Amino acid sequence: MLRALLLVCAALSLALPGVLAGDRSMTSFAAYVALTVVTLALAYAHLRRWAVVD
Amino acid sequence: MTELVLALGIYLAVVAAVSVYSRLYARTRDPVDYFIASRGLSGLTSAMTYAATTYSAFMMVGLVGLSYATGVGALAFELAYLVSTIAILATFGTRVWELSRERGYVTPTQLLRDRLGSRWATAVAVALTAVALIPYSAVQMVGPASIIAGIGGSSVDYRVAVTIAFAITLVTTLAAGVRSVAWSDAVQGVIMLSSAAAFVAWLTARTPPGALARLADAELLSPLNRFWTPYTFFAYTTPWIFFAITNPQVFQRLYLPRSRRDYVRMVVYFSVFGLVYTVIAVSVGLLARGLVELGALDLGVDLRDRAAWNRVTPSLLRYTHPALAVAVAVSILAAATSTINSIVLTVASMVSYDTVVPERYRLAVGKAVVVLFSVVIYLFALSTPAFVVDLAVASSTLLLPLLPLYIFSVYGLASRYAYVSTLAVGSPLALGLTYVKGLHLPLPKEVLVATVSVATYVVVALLDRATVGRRSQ
Repeated sequence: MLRALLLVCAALSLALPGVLAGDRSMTSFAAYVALTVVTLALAYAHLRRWAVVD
Repeated sequence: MTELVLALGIYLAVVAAVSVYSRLYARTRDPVDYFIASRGLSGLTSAMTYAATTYSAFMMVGLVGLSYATGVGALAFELAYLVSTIAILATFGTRVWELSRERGYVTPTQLLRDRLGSRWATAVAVALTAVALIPYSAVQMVGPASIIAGIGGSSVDYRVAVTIAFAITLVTTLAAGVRSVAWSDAVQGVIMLSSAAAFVAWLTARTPPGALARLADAELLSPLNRFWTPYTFFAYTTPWIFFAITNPQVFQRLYLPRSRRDYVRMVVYFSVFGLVYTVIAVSVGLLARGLVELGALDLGVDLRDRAAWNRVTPSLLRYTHPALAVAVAVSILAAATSTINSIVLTVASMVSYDTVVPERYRLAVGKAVVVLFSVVIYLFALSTPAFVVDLAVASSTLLLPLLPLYIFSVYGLASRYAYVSTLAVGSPLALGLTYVKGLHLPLPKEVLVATVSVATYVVVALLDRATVGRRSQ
C-alpha cells in the first residue's frame, strides 16, 4: 500500500510540470514542492519499514 | 599562482593518502572485495560514494549555467532527478540489494546474465555501457581542467590538470578498488559541498535585495517559462529520472551497504547531500544572474549561445578572492574525478565478470582494464576528438535501452528474445535520433527511446512467455 502510494506520488510529481503547462504562478510551484516533500517522506517511511527485518 | 599549485598538491596528497590507508582494510587478492568491498561498507561511506559518483562536474558548471540562463525551472529539473532516484532506491533498489546478497552479484550485468543465462547477450550490454561511459568520462575531465587552466594568472597548464585527474583516477582505483574509491569519494564529497557552500555564501553577501525582483521581471522565478516548456522539461529529465537504473556505476553502489539499516542510512544521507548541493548550485546561478541584471557584474555570457552557459562559473571565479576561486576549481575537479574513478572501476568489473574472463584471472584482468580505460580517457581528454564529444552528449540516451532489461529482470519477466530485441531496436534508435538533426518529433527523443525500448521488451517477453507456455502444454 505504502509502496503503491509512493510510486503514484513520484509519478505525479514528475508529471506535474507537464500538467501545469502554461500556469506560471508561484502557487503551482509550491504545489510541486509540497508533492516532492510528500514523496520523499513516503520513501523514508517505506525504507524504515523495510529495514525492520534486519 | 602559488595558491593553486599548493591546493592541487594538498588535494592530490590527501586523496592519495586516504586511498593508500584504505588498503589496510582490504582483502587485496579477493575480486569481490576489490569491486564491491565484500558488501561491507557503512551507510555514511556508501552515501558519500553514491553522491560523489552521481554528482559530477555538471553541477557546478552545467547546472549553474542552466539556472543562470533559464531560472528556477532548473531546480525543478534537478529535483525531479532527486525524487525519482529516492523513489527508485526505496523500491527497486531494496530488491536489488536483496538479490545481490541472495545470488552473490558483483556487477549490474551479472544480474542480467543470471536471469537470462546468456554470457554473450550480457557482453553486448557491457560493450554498450563502455561505449556510452568512456567518452562521457573523458569529457568530464575537460571542463574542470579548462577551469583550472583559466584561473587568472594560472601556472597550471590544461595538460597538467588533466594529468592530475588521470593520476587520481589511477591511485584511487588501484590502491584498494572500491574501498579506496569510496573513501576518497567521501573526502571529495566534503570538498565539493564545503567549497560550493563558501561560493554561494560569497555571492549572497554581494547580492542586494533588488536582485530577486529583477529575476521575477525576467520570468526566471516561475518553473515553466519560455525555455522550460513541458517538452523541454521531459527531454531534460527523462534520462535523469532513470539514471539510478541505467548507469551501472550507481547501480553497483546498491550492493555496497553491509546491512538494511546501512542501506537506509545511505539513502537518507545521499538525499540530504543531493538536496543541499542542488539548492546551492541553482542559487549560485540565480544570484549571479540577479547581479548581472542589476549591472553589478559583467560575466560576458551570451544567453543565445548554449555553449556559453558553461562559462558562467569560470567567469564568476574572476571576481572572487583567489583562495575561493582555487577552492571552487579544485572542488569541480574532485566532482569529476570522483565520478570517473567509479565509472572506470564498474566498467572494469563488468568486463572482468561478464565477458569471457576465467574466474582465476578476474582480479588481474580487472586491474588491467582499469589502467587501459584510464589511459584511453586520459588520451581522449587531451585531444577531445569530435566523435568523443558526440558520444558523451548521447551517453544518457544511449543507456536508456538498458532500462527495461534491468527492471523486468528484477521483477521476473526475464526473456532472452526480449533482451536482444530491445537492444537491437533501442540502441540504433538512440544513436540515430542523436545524430540525425532537424527532425520534428512529437515527443522528445529521450522519451521516445525509453518508450520504444520498454514497449519492445514487454511485447517480445509476453510473446516469448506465451510461446513457451504453449510448447509446454
